[in-house]
Amino acid sequence: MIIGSYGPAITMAVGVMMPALAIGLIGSKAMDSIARQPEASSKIQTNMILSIVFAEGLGILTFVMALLQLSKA
Amino acid sequence: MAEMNLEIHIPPKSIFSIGEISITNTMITMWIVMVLLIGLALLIRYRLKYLPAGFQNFVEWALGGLYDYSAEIGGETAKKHFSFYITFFLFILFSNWLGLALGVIAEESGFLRAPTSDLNSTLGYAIIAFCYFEYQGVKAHGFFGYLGHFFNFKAIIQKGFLGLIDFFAGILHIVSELIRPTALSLRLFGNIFGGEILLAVSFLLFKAFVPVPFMILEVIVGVIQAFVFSTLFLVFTVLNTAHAEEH
Repeated sequence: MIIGSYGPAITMAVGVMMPALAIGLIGSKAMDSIARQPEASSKIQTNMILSIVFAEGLGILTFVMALLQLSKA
Repeated sequence: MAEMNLEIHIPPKSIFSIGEISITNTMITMWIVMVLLIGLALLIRYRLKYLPAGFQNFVEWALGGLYDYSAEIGGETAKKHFSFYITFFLFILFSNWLGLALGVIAEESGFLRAPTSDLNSTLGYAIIAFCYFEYQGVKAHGFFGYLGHFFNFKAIIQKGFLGLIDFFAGILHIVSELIRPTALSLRLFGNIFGGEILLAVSFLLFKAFVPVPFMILEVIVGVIQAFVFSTLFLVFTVLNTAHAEEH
């Protein structure tokens, strides 16, 4: 294979892109809503953290796949 | 350039073994966490005073805050599950922090390592959480009532052909139910193990000063992951016990 030992690196690089975008979007929307309604900030923060965690889970799956490739190589 | 060799061990290192069972470094750290938590609890228990002062004051503030917080997330029913919630939170928090404090010091010997950086133990926590929220679901709806959520024959009988949609939604519900413990365990493991690799690499490249912000980041990640695991556990429990009319 041409990819060779760069497999884990490519996996991480590609797999982290979309979760990063998702986390950025969630954060920016949450900031918007906190600026609009500061009194609801505690509720928004909790939900923001939970949504970020779900988006982050995809990145973590990528990380686990990269680790698996690394340990097999 | 200095020679760099970074060894990444995904499985924990076996320290010694009793018969067939090998005692690993993550297990030893977990026992330390247990002793620490039980000791703290007993210390507070036998020194309870009517007027809290000092450490008791801090503990009451922290637990009271989390108790109100759990009610805020899951409503009044969440208060029943507070004991499990707080146990998960404290146990994972102390595991993360102890691994952070001791793991780096004991890097050379590998004698101590965060229990949460081992997939075996995070899977164990996730299975405990899974059993608990399934049990609560069965307790709230009855055995057949709970199974009815997954195999929704009632919808077919009541609504006829349109009920098939509800039936397939129930089948999909099985998948989402089974993916919960997997996601919980992999999330905790990936975050903590990834953080450890990050710290190991930064300690390898720069001996001093540069790893400090990463250490601070890992302290925050430790709190957030403990919070996330326990909060998701609480949310799943409340979702399973909620009645169909409510959601």
